[in-house]
Amino acid sequence: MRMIYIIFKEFKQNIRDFKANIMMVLFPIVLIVILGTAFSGVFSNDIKLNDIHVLYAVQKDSELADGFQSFRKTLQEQMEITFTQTTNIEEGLNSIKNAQYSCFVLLTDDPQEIRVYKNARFSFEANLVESSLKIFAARYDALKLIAQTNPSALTGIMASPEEDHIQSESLDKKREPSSLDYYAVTMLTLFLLYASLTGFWSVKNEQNFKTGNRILCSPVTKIELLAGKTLGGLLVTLIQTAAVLLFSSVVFKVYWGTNLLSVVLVILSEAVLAVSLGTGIAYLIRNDGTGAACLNILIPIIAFFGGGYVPLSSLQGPLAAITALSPLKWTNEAIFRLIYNQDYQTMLPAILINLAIAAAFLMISAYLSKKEAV
Amino acid sequence: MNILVMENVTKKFGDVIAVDNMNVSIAEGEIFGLLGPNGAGKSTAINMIIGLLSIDKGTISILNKDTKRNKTFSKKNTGIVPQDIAIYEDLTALENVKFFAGLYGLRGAELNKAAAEALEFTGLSDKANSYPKSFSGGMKRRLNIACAIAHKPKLMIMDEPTVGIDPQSRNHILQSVKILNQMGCTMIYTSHYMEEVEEICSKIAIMDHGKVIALGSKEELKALLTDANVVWITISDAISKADENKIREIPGVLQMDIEENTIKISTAKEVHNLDKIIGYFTENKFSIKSVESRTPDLETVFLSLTGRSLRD
Repeated sequence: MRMIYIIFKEFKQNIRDFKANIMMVLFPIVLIVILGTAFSGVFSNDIKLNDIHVLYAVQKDSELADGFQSFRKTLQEQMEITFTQTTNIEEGLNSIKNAQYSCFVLLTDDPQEIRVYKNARFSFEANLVESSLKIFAARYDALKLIAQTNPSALTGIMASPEEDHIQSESLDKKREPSSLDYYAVTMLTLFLLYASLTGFWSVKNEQNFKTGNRILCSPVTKIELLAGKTLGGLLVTLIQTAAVLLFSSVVFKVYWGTNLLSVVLVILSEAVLAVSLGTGIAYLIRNDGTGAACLNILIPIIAFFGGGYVPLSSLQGPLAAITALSPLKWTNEAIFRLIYNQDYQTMLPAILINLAIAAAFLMISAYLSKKEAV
Repeated sequence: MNILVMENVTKKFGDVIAVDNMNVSIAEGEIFGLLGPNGAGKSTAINMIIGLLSIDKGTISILNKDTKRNKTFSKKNTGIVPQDIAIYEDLTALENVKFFAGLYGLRGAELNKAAAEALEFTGLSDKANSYPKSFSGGMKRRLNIACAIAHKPKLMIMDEPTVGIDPQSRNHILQSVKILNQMGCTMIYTSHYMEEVEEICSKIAIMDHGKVIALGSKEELKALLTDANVVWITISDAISKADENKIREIPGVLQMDIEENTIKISTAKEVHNLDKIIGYFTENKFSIKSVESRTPDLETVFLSLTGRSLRD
């Protein structure tokens, strides 16, 4: 019960902090509009098929290769997709890494199979080609089976190619984020990181104004104080987040997916991380200015490597590898996959990463607060 | 009954002994003054009483219960007015009082009533819904007190509650201390203003270098310094040798020094003979210009015992 008093006290103080609310609510909304408008071209989902460039390589001539060549010609003629052949597989793989082609198709010899290498930057174009190839592969496998089991039927089937003997999957265009959709997620998660300043100043103000010691003169324990302050900061952060989420959804028509609860859980875990990070830094660094500066440097770095400013697919080489160290990368990826792929695989790791870091900082805070002199 | 008992209490910070074997007992209803120069160990002693610092050696009991083993009980029965104003500027006066009182377990109607009474007591009722950032220094000090008294503690610790405020607010606070005491609250009061301590405290401890070097009532402390009372009498005319001898014969007169028309007479403290001395001068038609009785004040006692002024 004593902790509830601290939670509500924190809530009142933070909700009355006009500057902080402007930063946590208005800034992300404004940035969603600015970035979403400025980069709308980059996120255009209207793909022109003649813009799709596919590099392919055939390791050895075979029936599969013949069939693929025939299918390729059809795609080239009917859909105006550009195919370029190469004999150098290494070169093909590098061209995908460097985003020179939409995808690289490799027909291997042993085993005989079709491999598609994609770059996330052209995910939609590559998915389109991959789906087409899946249809081709399914038709090829079926014809091969018929040739083996009932060769006489094959003549009839081949004579009437228009007849649909194969149940093929449709080329359903997956929903992709618009620039507003993209920046609504990334700006929300970016500004959530700034909730660490809420946690930071909450601890620092209590130290500076000696109110923390006064609280500890009452029957409140140091752990109750820490927990109350963290939960109070979290409550305010969640309300600010809800405001941004609601506003973006209603006014900008941002798509937040069909399972909002899962998205909110990931966001909640990031909020816990942010507030705990702030309290941890407050106990670790005694000087107010240094502590705040440390957070103000750390947050943009975490945000950059988490795709907060530019899509991660645009990062190459070592920079791309570093992104794995940013908790925001896992958070953003989990949210995008939840919204656009209904993919829950990255949700739990993202939540666990956020909560593990939060737990580490809370333990540091608890340890240092116990040692702290009055 | 003793509200607070400190027995052999010691606190060290590394090699520095902040409080050294402190023994103090405070009876119910006392206003106990804790004096000492900066660094004497007062704050450390207070922080141990209120549970902010652990005790290295010895025991502290509040209402006959060991504070180490009965933390919640001890804290619930203690209130602190810290030296630094510890209030929230972004909460109203009423919200401040309710928040701190709530931490001591007050709820609902009881909490509302206690908060209103605390504000009334400190003269801040009309400012209940104002934010302290608009308050004067004195008003903030009063709110600082209101936050400490709402839960009605049995023992109240006031650590320099009148620092840096106007005389009106200081008087208000001193009156509040007396009224709180009359209402049954035992007080520990520290101040740099000796006259405040003389005015309100019934028992005083003087600390220096972590030790209690003197403990007792004001009179007992002053008695430590001298065994005699001194009276200065200034008359219009010079005094004769015969008169001088007659005065020396008055019972209790220990010494007599004459400097022009001023006579300094030292008398035994236990003998009350001022009326007889004055009577001799009036009966013998001396015109008395002034009479001054000088007993050592607390400031003198403090200076004498610690070698330092209280404000050092």
